[in-house]
Amino acid sequence: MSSQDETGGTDRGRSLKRSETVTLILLAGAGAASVALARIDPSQRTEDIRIYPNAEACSAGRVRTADECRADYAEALRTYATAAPTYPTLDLCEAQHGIGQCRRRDAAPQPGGDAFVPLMVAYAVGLTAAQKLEPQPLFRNADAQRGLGLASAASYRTSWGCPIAPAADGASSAARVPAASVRRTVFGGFGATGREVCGDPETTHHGGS
Amino acid sequence: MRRVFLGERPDWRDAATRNGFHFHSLDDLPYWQESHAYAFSLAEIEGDIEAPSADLHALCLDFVDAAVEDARILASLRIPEQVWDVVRNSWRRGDPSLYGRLDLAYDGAGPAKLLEYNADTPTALYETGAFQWLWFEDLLARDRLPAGSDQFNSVHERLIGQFRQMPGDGTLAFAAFADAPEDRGTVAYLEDCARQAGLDCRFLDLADIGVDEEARFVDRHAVPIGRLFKLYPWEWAFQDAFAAELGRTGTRFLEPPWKAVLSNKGLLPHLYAREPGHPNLLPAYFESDPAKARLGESFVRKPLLSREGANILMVENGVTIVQPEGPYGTEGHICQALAPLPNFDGRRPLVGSWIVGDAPAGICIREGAGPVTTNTALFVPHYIEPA
Repeated sequence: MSSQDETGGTDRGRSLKRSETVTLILLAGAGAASVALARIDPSQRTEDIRIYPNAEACSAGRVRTADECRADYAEALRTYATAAPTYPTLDLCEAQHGIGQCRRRDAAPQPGGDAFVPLMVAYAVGLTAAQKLEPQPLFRNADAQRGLGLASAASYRTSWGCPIAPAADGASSAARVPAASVRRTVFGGFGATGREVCGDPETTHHGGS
Repeated sequence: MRRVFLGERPDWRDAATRNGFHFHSLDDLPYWQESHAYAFSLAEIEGDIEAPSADLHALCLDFVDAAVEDARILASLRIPEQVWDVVRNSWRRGDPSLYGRLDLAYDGAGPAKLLEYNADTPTALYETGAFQWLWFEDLLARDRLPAGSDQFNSVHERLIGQFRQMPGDGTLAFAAFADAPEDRGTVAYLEDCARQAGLDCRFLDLADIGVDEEARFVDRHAVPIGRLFKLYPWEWAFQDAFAAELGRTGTRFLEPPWKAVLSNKGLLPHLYAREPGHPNLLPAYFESDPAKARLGESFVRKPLLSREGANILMVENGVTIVQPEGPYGTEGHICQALAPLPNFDGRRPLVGSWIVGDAPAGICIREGAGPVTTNTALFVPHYIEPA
């Protein structure tokens, strides 16, 4: 929105100490609401997503056809096989995802022995194909299981740790889910120090000052 | 400089919602506070804040030029040796900076005193550049400010101008903790400005930054990131796993790594040693320097890398008036002469003076109840009274 039309037209002949106009294209109007939720990224055209425990629930939701649901679920499972976060011990995994939410990884392709991964408890798809969201495996979020009652207590996490809090009808209004194409690329190398310094990883960290 | 009662607009929350200001309250407590405003004369703004800010920033750039070539200085700032070349090369290459905020103690009478330079990850930017401006124009239009009033605030225009001067490959990625609303709001505002400057923008959570096999920083689509704005301080990034990639990567950053030299309280004793007679610099010493005794019984002790007023010890006439609390300090401290924030009706305003590119662009005022400005301070708008 632009405010220069209705205001400030009186003394514009001389040099002023302030901006002549302030126009907001992303923050004003519809985009503002998505930024407010802090997890939707307007620049990636992500809107609401749908979360389903399996393909049957997806079909019952009637947003997608049964064939689409099966294909999406299969793709989420394939992504799960390669993209699930891995933890060196069961304890560390359960600390993130909750007791009983983790299992030993099928194979240990990397040196270092055993690794543990969270169970895939659901998957997320975009509401429309235009969102270009790849189906994503979702894992239980330990904080939600512990019932910490935080406003942001998300039920799920994506494979890269993004918390997702679905609305009651299964449509998430607070999820930012960019498509994950997991190749031999390493993620998560930035941010750990900030979360550590600031204590509670769910509530208090800021990078700004 | 006066603190003036204006009364808040009954519909300001609607204006905030319309303009994307969703962190105007935190935990149901207001952060944006427009019942009062600070009124300045043009002479105060130009002579006491704008000109000294330009001068201080220039001193800082001179200091960076010396620091990056001096191992003793880099070590004194606790910048890890493994990234000295990263810092050094970003300066030698002339990597541009976008913005920073000088925090000043100013009461309208004596010279403003530099408390610190938030040169790397300052917030309160959207509130300054956009919402404070909208507030001003709205009050002017409603005849609630004298005709001919002005505001020291070209932050918005200057940000867009600065983005236009750094076209790069036409793209710019933004990263922050996506689940911190104030950070997300600040980054969204910058993204808004960058888009208006014609850049193709995308937002990434910090966790969505990857490194591919060619040591390039990439997004989740494996698309290389040519340039990244990160609302994440260098001192933390230097401790992260990806710090090892910084020396090899072709990705450029905003703020550039050389800002780590300035966004560090160790800057303050170095600046004072270089310009001991400067009217806007407070005496300051590293805690390990015996000369700190010259500060006497009134001083402030700050960790080199503390944020948002954490871990600050304040002693006045030998009496501790603020005890340190928070997670910082193991990296060492500096001691600075005490310059108490002024007291207006029991409120303590801190003037944040914005530098965009290399020139002053406006101010924000954050008002606290105590002697140290923390993240609970309120944002109070300002205006310049007509002559």
